[in-house]
Amino acid sequence: MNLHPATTEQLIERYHKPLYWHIRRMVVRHADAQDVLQETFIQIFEHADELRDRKQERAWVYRIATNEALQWLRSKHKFVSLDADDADTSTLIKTLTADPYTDTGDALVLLFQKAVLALPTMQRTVFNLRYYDDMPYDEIAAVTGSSAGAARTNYHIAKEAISNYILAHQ
Amino acid sequence: MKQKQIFDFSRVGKRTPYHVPESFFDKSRKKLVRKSRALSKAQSQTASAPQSQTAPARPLRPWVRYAGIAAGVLVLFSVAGLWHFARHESPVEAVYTSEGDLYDYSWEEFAEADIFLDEMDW
Repeated sequence: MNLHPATTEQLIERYHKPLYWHIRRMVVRHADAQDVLQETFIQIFEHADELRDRKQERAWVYRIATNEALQWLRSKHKFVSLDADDADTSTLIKTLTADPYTDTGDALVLLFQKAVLALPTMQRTVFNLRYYDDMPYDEIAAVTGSSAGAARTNYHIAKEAISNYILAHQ
Repeated sequence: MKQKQIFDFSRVGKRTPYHVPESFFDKSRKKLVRKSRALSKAQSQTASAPQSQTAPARPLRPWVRYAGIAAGVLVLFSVAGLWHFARHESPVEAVYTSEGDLYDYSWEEFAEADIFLDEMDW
């Protein structure tokens, strides 16, 4: 850890909310998101000297958060991989409705989130980064370790899949 | 031609069903700041601590090394010798019967037969 304490506090100030929401959308349960967020920041503090380019800061912290969330999901469900197309997403959908910090009042919002959770892991990650965090495709590529073209394709496939899911379940 | 139906994403926008307990972000930020300060403090203490005085391992004296090699060679030869004798079969002596048939006797059998012949009253 070579960062000045003031710099780490700036990182916390800047990213702790967006990273929490990114992690929450991946792991679903509030208590789990809280744990993964803590673990993410520990990784950020410990590997801060590996961040060479400040312009890549956001992609770097999101990459750590994504990896931590995937590692957590893998330890719990043993199926999650950014390369896997056959992720068993029904567990995540069940978790969504079971978590006390899920608002089930708006049926359409809930259905939309179920449609997002039904996506394969890579598509879901790309969709969340683009749709909720407005991240450009080249930055998404840096987070997921793919190309900007692949990120664009994944986003459009995900959008179509969500649309189909909602129309089929409405 | 039937037009493909597409869901209007603006109906949901960026709303999600997720919510957090009250003052969660404030508590979480404070906890992270405490953790980062503790880590930073621990690291600066480690950096200022004197380096450990562990002496490098001394090389072995020459006679210890040679004795070790000799012992190794001795053990190797002993094992090879034991293995050789364990596998070695007793020599076979060709003995012909009065009918001209060939009997194969091992040394032990031959020695036994010899004793037996000695004891016989010719």
